[in-house]
Amino acid sequence: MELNNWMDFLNIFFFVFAATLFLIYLATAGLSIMEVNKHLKKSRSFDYRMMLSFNRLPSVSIIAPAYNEEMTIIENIKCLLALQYLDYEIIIVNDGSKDNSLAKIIEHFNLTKVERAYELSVACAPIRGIYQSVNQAYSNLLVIDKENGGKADALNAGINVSKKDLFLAIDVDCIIEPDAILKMVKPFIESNEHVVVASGGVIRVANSCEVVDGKIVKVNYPTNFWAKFQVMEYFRAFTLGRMAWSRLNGLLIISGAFGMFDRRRVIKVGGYDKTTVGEDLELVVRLRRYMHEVEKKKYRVAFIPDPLCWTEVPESYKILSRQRNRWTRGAIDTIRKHKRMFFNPTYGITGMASYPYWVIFEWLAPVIELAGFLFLSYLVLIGGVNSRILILMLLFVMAFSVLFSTIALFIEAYTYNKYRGVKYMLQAYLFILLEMVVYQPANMLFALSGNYDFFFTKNKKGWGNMTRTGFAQKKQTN
Amino acid sequence: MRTIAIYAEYWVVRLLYLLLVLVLVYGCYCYSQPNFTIGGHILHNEFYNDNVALPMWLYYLEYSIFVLVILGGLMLLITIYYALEKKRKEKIFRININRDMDYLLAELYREGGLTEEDIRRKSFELRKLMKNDFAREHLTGILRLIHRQTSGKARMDTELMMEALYCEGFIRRYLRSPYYRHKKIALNLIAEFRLQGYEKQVMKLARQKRDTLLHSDALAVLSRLNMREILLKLIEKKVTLSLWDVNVFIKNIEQDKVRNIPYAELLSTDNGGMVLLGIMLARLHGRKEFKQEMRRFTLHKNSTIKEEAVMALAAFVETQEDFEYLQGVYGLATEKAREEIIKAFKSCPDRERAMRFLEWITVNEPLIHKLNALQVILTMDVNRVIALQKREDPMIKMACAQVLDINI
Repeated sequence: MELNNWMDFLNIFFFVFAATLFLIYLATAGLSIMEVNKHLKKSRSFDYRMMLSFNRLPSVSIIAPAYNEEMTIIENIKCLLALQYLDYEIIIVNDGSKDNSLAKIIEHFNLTKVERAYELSVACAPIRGIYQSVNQAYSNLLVIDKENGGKADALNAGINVSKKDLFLAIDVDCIIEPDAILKMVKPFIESNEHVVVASGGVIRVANSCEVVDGKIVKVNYPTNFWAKFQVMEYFRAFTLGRMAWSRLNGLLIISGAFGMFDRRRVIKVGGYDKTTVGEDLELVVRLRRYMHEVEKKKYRVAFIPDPLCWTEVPESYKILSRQRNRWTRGAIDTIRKHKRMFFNPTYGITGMASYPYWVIFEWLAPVIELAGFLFLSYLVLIGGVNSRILILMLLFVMAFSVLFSTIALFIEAYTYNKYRGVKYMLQAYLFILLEMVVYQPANMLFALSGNYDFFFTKNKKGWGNMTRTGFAQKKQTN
Repeated sequence: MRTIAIYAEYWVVRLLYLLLVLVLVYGCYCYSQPNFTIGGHILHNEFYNDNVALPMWLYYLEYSIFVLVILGGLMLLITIYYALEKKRKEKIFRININRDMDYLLAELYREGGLTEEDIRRKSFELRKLMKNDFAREHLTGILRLIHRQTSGKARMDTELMMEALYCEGFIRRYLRSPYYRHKKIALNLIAEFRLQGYEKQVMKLARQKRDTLLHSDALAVLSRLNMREILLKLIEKKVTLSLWDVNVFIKNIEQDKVRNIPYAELLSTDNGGMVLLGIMLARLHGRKEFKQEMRRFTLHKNSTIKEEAVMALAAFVETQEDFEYLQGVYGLATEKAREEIIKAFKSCPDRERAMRFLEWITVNEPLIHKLNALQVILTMDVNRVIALQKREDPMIKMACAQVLDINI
């Protein structure tokens, strides 16, 4: 094939890729707005507390793996003990911490070692002991002490010890809204036609927020440079991305920091996969496969657009890069494991839309973007680009990106309006403009390094050191 | 007339959006032409390049950028305006609600209370303020809040006040409105004050299948009205109930302590949701005369109905024959139902038979049922638990250890 033909082919390829992405983004914006509107209609005048007097409510275990969390573990557990729900227990899994996490919890909550029976329904590292409180006020608190095995392993231990209908997997240092369990349980008991196998909620950035006694009392826009970008990113990802996929019933991921699952079905699929760093994505994909291949029932993975969980995001370039590198490796691992779903109609919308989307527009996108950039640079060098067209194309992409992010910002103001004030809005807008030249390229680099590490180095499975600074806790004064 | 005005507003807004889209599309076409016509006048397109023949798509691209930039800027302004306006409105709303609630509460709880004449006079004053639907929404909303939070004479007085406001037209208008928000306000008022005369309209909303949200809301309202008649009507109209709706019905029935339930009619219908409601209510209210029907339902194709039927039988168990029947259906029962069966054996008259059954469960069933069975055995004979602990099976040992642990 002649050089011109190759160039034409690449031109068309990149154009089709960009045009498809553009159309997908337009579609997700439209679908999300419809879904958010529908949810707001439902929830604006709905008192979730009425569910507390329902006859048939599923029981819930909150499973929170903890590793070296002695600084904040007590406050975090107190926050969990104050959630609004009747039949729930908290299972803290001390995953072989090297600090005094366990000793602190035992002392503070009057725990004693108990002979709690459990089945090894899913594989996990040996459990050294199970602790329960002798104080009735903490009767729904259980602590599992086990050998270190990683987050997935710790969650599996929690699943083994739990005897409840559902479990809520959280990061122990997340701040959960008081009515989070009620909202997450609602889809499980609402639907007549579909079985709900998992539900997820929106996660917001808690950096710089005022936290008192484990509760967010004032939402502030982050002061950290990198955290500011992530606020918008989380808005877009949750509000525009996941809402749209949820509407299509094609949602492939429930966040590992906050997700509720049907415990029996998770056991049936073998629990969390300890061999991957993207255990959250991998579990949802496996559950979907199970529902298509084994149970063959109509099912849903639900998503609640309410901000139910607040988490600390990385504030340094180094930690952020580790996190995104891990996410990329996790995604690739999952995609490889379940490759038979790719454009396979057996798996419905998952096989025909969500999975191919993840392969092409999540995994391969950074590689294609890099290739596109290199190709464009080559064309510029050889004078093969009409400068007017190039500038117009770039302007188009920039204008669309800005509009897309502004729509996400508008939906946030329209729905929950957590960031109040012109100052925050303008800051967010400034960072929307900066994103294209700072954050997007950085994200692309992180994803590329994730690809490189996965395929060419031995670093396929590591988490890296995810240092967190903890929330700025204020003591409540009475 | 006011209903027509609501519909007019609804459709005009949508037509304006459509018009905007058409204008944008026409603008795109005009941008790519050297000249264009508006209202009979020919105008020259200043953006058109008369010297170089550029491809059409380039004009479309330029136009798109132009539109995107304007939309982006507009979106930002609307976002800021909306956020500030929302904040301001919330503040005013809170102030107004608090002020008006304080005023009404002060009147309701004043020394000596309100006489009927006072209520009539107050309502007359309030009616004069209700010049538009916004005012009606606000006032009825406050009365609803007060009604929820008060009891005794104050609560009755709010009901009289509500009656004296003559809001029937407003409520009917809102039930017919195309806006969900209006329907919701009307439904909330009907539910809170148990307003009569709207059953037909609410039943119509409950029967429609297009909007499942409205369907559930309407059912929730019906569950607050004349329960027996409503249930019979729902059976007659074959209205489907989800598990959620069933929960709402039960919650309201228990809250209002309603007991004149048509159990027989509920249990004999084909409608799965109604049957489930009937079974759950029969179990809650201890209606043991329906035992035979429950036995029939243990073979139902719907697993939730089957489960509830078994749980009802476990709650109704009295004679040895009942226990034997329960033992017979144990194998078909779900996990939850098995739990109830095991607990029911605590009161089995034939102790030895019960022990054998519970020991069988301890040896053969998964851990969760082992634990339940051992809990029951423990209450009957602790030595049996100690004996079971000596078995080789580590799971049985672990379960016995948990049951014997006084800290759990």
